[in-house]
Amino acid sequence: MTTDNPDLDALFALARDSRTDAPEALTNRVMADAMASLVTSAAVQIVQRPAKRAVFGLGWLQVAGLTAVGVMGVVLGVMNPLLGGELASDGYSLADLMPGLQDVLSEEVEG
Amino acid sequence: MDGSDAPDEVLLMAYGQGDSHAARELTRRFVPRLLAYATRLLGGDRAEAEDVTQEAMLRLWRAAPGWRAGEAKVTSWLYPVVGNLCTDRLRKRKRQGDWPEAEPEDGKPGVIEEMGHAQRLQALDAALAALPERQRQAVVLRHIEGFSNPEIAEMMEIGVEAVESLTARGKRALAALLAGRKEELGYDD
Repeated sequence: MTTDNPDLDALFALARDSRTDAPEALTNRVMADAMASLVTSAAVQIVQRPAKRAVFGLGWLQVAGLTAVGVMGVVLGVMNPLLGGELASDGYSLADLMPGLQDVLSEEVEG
Repeated sequence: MDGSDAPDEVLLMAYGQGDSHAARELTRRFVPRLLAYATRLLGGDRAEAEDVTQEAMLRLWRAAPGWRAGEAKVTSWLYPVVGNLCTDRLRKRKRQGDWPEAEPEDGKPGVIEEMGHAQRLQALDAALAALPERQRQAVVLRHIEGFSNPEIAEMMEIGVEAVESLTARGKRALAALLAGRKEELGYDD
């Protein structure tokens, strides 16, 4: 039985075979986007890189703070006898002399 | 990297690691197909189809760094993106009342002539443009883009039976729209 309708399968095949072209300008725009995305992706990875740990899992700021505390402790320890032990006998502690000590020790590592 | 035979997913992950040659191969593979698909979904609007194609590929480039092997096929990811972008544009057109009519090739009444390939394609595209959006999408994905019914079901987020129903109704509608033009389109019995 013949029908009066076109051969859809042949038309579909024709449509499939025609999917070969894209304007060069469009291809160039797509590639430009691809290259730009590569640059952006690389920049994001650099910014998000985690801070490196200095010593024993502590950040550089904490290490610097503890070092300063240690130096002060040595200095006071040396100077206190020279001052006649006045500091310790008057009830002073290291934390009194360095109000920011607790803040430095509890500061979280960045990143 | 010689990507001519590499699977799409391998190329995409290579691009995500910075391989620009992989991007060129993916562009070569997908841009013509996506452009043709978008053009048909948008009723022949080539300019809008180019915008949609570029946007879909841009989203692919941005997704590449996070792409993991075995997660999804690139086609299963890309085609729904194109479909959704086209749907958004079609709805915007309807809201704005800007709905260009897709006119079939105007053959001279009573004159029997054989059409060239381009004219046959125009006739098919005009008939596709006249279908409801979901039927058009299903028919194009099945009979032109060559996806299986389960793949189409996943892309369109419907059941396989719904896909079969859409494609069957779509083909019947196309046949009806193109009725009486077999000889004009150059097909013999």
